[in-house]
Amino acid sequence: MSAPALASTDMSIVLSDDSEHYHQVAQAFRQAVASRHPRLTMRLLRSAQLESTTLPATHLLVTIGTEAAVNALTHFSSNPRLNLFITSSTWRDLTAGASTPYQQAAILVDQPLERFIHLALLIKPDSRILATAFGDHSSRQRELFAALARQHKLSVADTLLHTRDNPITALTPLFSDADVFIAVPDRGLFNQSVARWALFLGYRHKVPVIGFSRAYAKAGALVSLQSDPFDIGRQGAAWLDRYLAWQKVQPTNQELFEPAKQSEQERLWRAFPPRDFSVALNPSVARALGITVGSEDWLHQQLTQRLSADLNHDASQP
Amino acid sequence: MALRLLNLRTPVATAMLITTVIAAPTAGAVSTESYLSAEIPQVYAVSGFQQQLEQAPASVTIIDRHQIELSGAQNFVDIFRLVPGFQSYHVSHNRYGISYHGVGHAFPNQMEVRVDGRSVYETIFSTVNWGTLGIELADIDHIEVVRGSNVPMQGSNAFMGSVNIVTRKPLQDSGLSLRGTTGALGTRNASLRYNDSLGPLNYRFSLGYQHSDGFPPQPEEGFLDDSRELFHANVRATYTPTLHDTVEFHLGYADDRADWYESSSPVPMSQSEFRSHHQAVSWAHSLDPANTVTINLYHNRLRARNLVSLGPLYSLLGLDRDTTAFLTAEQPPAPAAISLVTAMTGLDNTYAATLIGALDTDLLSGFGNLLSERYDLEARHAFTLSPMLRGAWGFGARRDRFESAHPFGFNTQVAESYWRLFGHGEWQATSWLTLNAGAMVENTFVGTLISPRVSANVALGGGHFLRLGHARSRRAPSLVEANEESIASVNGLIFNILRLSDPDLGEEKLTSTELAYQFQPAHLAMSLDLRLFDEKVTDVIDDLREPTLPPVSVFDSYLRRHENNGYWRFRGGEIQLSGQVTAKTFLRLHYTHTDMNSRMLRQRLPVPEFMDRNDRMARHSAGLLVGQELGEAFTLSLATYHQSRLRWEDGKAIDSFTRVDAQLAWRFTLGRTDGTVRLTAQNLGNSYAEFDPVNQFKTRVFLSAAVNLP
Repeated sequence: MSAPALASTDMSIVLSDDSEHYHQVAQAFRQAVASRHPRLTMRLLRSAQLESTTLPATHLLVTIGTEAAVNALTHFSSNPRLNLFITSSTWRDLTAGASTPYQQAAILVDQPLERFIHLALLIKPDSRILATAFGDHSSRQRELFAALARQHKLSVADTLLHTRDNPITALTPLFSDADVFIAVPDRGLFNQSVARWALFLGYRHKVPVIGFSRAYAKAGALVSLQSDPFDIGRQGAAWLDRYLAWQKVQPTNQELFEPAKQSEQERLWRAFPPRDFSVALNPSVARALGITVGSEDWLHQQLTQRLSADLNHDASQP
Repeated sequence: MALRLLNLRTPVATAMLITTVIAAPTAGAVSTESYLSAEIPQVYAVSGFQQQLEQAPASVTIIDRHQIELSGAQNFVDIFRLVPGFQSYHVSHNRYGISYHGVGHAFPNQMEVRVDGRSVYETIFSTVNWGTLGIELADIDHIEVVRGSNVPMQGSNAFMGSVNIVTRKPLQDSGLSLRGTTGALGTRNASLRYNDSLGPLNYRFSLGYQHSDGFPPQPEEGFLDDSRELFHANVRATYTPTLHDTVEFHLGYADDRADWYESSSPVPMSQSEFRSHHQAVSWAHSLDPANTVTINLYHNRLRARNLVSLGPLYSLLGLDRDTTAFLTAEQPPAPAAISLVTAMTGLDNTYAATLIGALDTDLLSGFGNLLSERYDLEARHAFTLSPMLRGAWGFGARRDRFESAHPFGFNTQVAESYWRLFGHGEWQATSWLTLNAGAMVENTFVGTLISPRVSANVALGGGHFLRLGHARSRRAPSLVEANEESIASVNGLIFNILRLSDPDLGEEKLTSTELAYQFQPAHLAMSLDLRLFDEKVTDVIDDLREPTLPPVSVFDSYLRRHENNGYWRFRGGEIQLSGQVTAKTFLRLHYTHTDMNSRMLRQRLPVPEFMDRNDRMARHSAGLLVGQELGEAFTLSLATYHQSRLRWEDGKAIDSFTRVDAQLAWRFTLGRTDGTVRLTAQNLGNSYAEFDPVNQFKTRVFLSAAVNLP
């Protein structure tokens, strides 16, 4: 497959594949951009088309999903890129050893850990011990999780699960004393295994589980915290406003090293947590566990308030 | 992406479903975001991999634990009355006939039933022996019912549909659970379940006991003993050595002493004994999030015994004791006695002498001593090639055998081996179109059978979905259908020929076309499912009546021969509406309308005679289940079921009936102990008949209690 050169187009939106959620991100992004910048032109591409595409070095690529982000980095590392709908783990991989600064930004899809901890305290205010499990990739968050928990005077019962570990044997002790189990996303097999067994163990030990996708709550977690693809798309459009404003006053190479300009660039070219999020509640689980919590709206409102008051929470949003 | 609300309300009932929800659908090194917005797959049994209901190539009904509890079900008959298109009935109190479409008879033979992936279809009876499943209703997590032929995935026995019972995993419960039920028909049920771990092995151990006196006796019929005494035990264990591997073990034993109904027998109702045990192991190995290989191995064994005394042969021949004493006064028989018998029966001298020697023999009817055994091994690979393309393929081998031993009847040993190869794929061709295709190739004793299925699933938007499906299925006869020789004899002298199999018996053939519609509103936990079907079955294995000429005719003068001589066509529609109307109100409603057109050769000699079986299936059936939570502790539920008039094959004509059940459940917690007390009333109206007028279903009241100790 080949696509024509896109010199006449202002930006390209690159989908990882035709999954519905990628299209939803693209749809929200395009609608929001079209309403704010009607003269901007956009073209939709598939990730696989990038290899045979030529683009000027200033052409903005808006990638959706990991595959598109990786392909864009591979073929257009000098171009400015906004990566939508990727995880923080993917962002770390993409930026590891990056030689070209200030060319890449992201709107992440996974939630900052402090949101989960605040939510745990909302559903069980008297919590003392939070349990969680880390995989090979999420283990980088282990210290951060412990530090955030300490700030809330909470202890952590956690385990590092490798692919050769027995997941039930490793997870079972965590549930004996824990007040809440927080599922931290990692890679596929880890997520499958932890989801399957943590939900069973949580039900058995009457320990609520907090999940990271709506599917988690449907399948047996008490609550889940997630961002909608449409929200990510709209947040991407908001970042574009800042990008266009920055472009007008784009610093020269010399100015790049001035602290004020550097700071401005750092605020633009970075990864942003998802601004909007939703809380899904499984009332049947709440009843089974004997936990009284408010509605999804109440939880969302309370969580938003707590996060606003939390100075550690990353409030900088595009 | 609109997330669908599941009908499954039990908190962890769906936890098994998350195994692929959380999986990134691509095997790429860093692709990790897809699991954050994935839908919940809901069905597994249709294609061998997890699919969304609206993307599966067949209609599926899921009955979960919550619905079973709300319905007040006391047995499997009650449960399957919640499913559209099902005929679910008491052949006798403890023998159930459960089938999807098809002629309703005592041995419904065209539906597969699996418990945790293990087929429990008994080839010796050509049906499922529900009494020896060895599971309590409380052990069930959910039941996945495929409405429509599922031969392409589950083989011959899933000809018209399949039932997949999934029991609770050991990790789903903890400690000790005790349950008991008492009430109508002398019911005394008790069960115990204990969940714990032994090193890295998590296990569940269950024991159950059931007693009932059966249907109340009818004065005009005399005493019919259809009581039951059932004991069963089972163990399920889970071992997860690594994140990649899950190993499941299942062991079970059941001892069921229950009634046996055989309409063609001179003693239609008799006590019988069934003893079964099974062992199963399955190993699932995830190569990566997109590839899982599963190997299943199991063994079933069933012993059954049913022998009924008919009295001495002379009384069956209408001879009195004195005449018999005269004939048998001398051994070997006197020439005068032989001459007399020869004159009376037309037998030659040798046969006449044999008959005289057997006159005092006490004859036994019943199915005798049976042994049925199965070994089955299957390997399956479920894969995801891209978010748009996934599937499963596999192969399996099966060894079925049975032995029949009867002092005066069917004595044989038969064993057959089967091989199968299957594959299914789902391709999301566009955002609105999903195509499914799959097939099963079975190597059986009647040849190589190929059963393909295709469907096109269209997303119309706004939660509306259409499916157009077509399937061609082949069903190999069961071992007993192909090998039956029920010839009653004494000392080599044949006195009755009951049933014989056609030596050229072949496969049954089904061609099915369906149009289905689903509606899953985004903001309501409800779903609507409509299925219009046209199912044509040819070469149906049916009984041809033949005049028999046994040397001595004791009973009727016809035998039944299993032949491929039937034709059935079912056309109609079924609809179900199910889900949470509000947070505290559950509703399930279904209705089925079926037109049956059939033709079969009743007898070939002396003149060909054809008949139909169009009245052997209920034209209308409907059910309603409503559950209402009353505060935190009480739940009130109401279940109704209606079935129009029909004439059961092997049974009698039964008038239409509407049954209304009600239940009040109270949940309590005492410290770390919780439990439930239920008061259930079944059939609040007048009596109605099940399968035969002798089975009068009067109002029944049951009190049950369950306590869960930590």
